[in-house]
Amino acid sequence: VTIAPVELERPVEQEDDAPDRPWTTIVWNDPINLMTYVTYVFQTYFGYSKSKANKLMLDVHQRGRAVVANGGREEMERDVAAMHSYGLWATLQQD
Amino acid sequence: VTSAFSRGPRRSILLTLKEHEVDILRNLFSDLLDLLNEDAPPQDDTPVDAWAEQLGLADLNGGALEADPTDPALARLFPAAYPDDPAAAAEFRRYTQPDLRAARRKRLAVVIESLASFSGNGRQRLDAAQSQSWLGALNDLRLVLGTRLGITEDDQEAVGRIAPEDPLAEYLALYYYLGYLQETLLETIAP
Repeated sequence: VTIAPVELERPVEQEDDAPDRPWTTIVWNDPINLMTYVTYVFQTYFGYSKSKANKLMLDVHQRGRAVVANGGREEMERDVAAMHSYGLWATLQQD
Repeated sequence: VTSAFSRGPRRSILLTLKEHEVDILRNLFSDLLDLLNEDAPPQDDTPVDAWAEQLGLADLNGGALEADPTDPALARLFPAAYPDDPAAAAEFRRYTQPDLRAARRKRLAVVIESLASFSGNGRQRLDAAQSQSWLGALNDLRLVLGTRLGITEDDQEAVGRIAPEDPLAEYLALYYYLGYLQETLLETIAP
């Protein structure tokens, strides 16, 4: 046994091991999926309003990508798998 | 009557096709089914190494469970979920790809069955579930065809690049035809 030092070193904040940091689902632009289809997917799968779905679709189309959802890792993996099933090019990452 | 999807009575959806369209679609969708079957992990006769399986190493010794697709069209249907993390991407593939492939085959089967019940020029009534299968399968087919044709952001490029006498020109026309079909389906079912 050792005697605890009076002054404890404060642990350095870890950037990488923050399990509660939100993950994001990203949809990337592609030249094949129809714009109406992408909007339709955002509306039906995420339950977004037509205007929100349309705005996200335009972000994908014009900026090359858009964050379409965020949350826990498992939840985002479900979303990405669903997007793949619809044929959208989706990835997830920790922001 | 124009060939395509339209609204039918009592929230049903009507699909109207000419005989040659039915033939073309049947061929394209069965090619897609072949492609999906080709991609399936080999049905290996070698007995599974029980130890390796228990240790989760079964896919390390030749089992090649769910490899990254090398065919660009398949890579488009089954993209990497973690572009910067090959290990996480492989793990994701391992857990999701079999279900995803099964779902694609299932909706394709619905579409092929629905095409089989056309005789000559005809019209067919689809319920909501069948329409969803058509929507997904049409999109999968366009993704594969579009990837094969090298469709880029500006569609006009593809039109200019492919000469009318090029055999690909026929596929380009089909690609646009499928886009038109999908667009009419979306107009019919979009919320």
